[in-house]
Amino acid sequence: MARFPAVLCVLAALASSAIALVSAPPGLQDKKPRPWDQFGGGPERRNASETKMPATLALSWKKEMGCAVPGRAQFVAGGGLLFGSSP
Amino acid sequence: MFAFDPGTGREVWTMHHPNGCQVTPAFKDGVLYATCFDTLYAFDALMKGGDDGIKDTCENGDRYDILWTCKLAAKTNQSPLLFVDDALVLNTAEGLEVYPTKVKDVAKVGRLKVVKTGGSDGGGAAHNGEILVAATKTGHVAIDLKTDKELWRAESGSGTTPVIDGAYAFFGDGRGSLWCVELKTGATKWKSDGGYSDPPAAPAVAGGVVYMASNKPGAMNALDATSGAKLWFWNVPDKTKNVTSEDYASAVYSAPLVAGGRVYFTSYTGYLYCLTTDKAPKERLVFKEKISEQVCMTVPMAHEGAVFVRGAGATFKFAGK
Repeated sequence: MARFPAVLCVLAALASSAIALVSAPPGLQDKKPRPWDQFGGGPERRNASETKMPATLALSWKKEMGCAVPGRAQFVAGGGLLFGSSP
Repeated sequence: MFAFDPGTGREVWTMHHPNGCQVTPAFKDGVLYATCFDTLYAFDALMKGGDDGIKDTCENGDRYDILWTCKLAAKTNQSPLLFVDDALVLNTAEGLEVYPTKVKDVAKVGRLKVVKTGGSDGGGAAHNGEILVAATKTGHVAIDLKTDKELWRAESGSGTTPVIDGAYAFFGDGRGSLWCVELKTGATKWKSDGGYSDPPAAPAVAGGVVYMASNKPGAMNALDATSGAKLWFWNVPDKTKNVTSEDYASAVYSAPLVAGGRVYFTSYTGYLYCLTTDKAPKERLVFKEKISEQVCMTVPMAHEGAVFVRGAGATFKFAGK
């Protein structure tokens, strides 16, 4: 009789694992980096469709910061900072 | 090169280079990699002291920390740098230059290899560390990253930086056509008519839709990624006087950014435009903001619920109200 609850526990654990596997967001199921995660920066990061964005945006700040750069150059994030370049 | 706090805009460090830096830098494991002219730089990105504990400070007030520098096989101002596994790949006039990252001084080790592609021109995109598609002077080339062998070559001329989405690569050619090719075979799935922007306006792909700019007149276009059929387009309503040809008064040479159901891009008009990606909205334009009194080609970036974009001499942050 003592084994019966243990078997139930194992079954319950297996079931919860299966549920967790099914319900995990796609990004968590696949530990491989998405294609655009493989890049240090650049236009490949233009697909940010999975980024949560507010419904409306307004100017937060404007800072004088070097010259404008041509089309391909933009920022890259890392360690809580943003990095950019100037021609 | 410079680093700033995205919350406040405060500059954390800056390095002015006599020849300038035009590339998007790359960040990995606390190190920022950037090419300036003919040199690859590695910075202690977070100014934590690096290996030597020395922070470089210059007479002009610049403050930064260079970990090491390494001469490139060829100068470049084109290279969006990218990582394939732990190797850093640069797309230069010599081809794909590959450098190690997990060494203290790359200058002592040197580059790992150069994969000849015929003179690179523009960026590259990799797929799961297996296939890399690079823009070259004569067309787009796919390289098997395990064997360094050329898989296919598209006769697309000097085109845009490619984008890979699923089993397909998307890129613009030098004649304003947009291509969709099978990644493994190079077979053309579809190719649009001309009329789209040529480099540097690369496409963006999100949710089965390809977004691509036009320059004459300036517009943003949405195409079905599977068929190439045009879903919608939106003409830029403003014009600039900062161009000699009226044809380019509304030109868009900005690669689009897709984030949160919106597509963001800049224009020669000096505006940042934000459009909804809905199929049939009452109004396509969500908002526009003047960010430059000069022609603008910069690419917006999304980061932690905000959009960052550069105008002429200034950086702007747009965040939730």
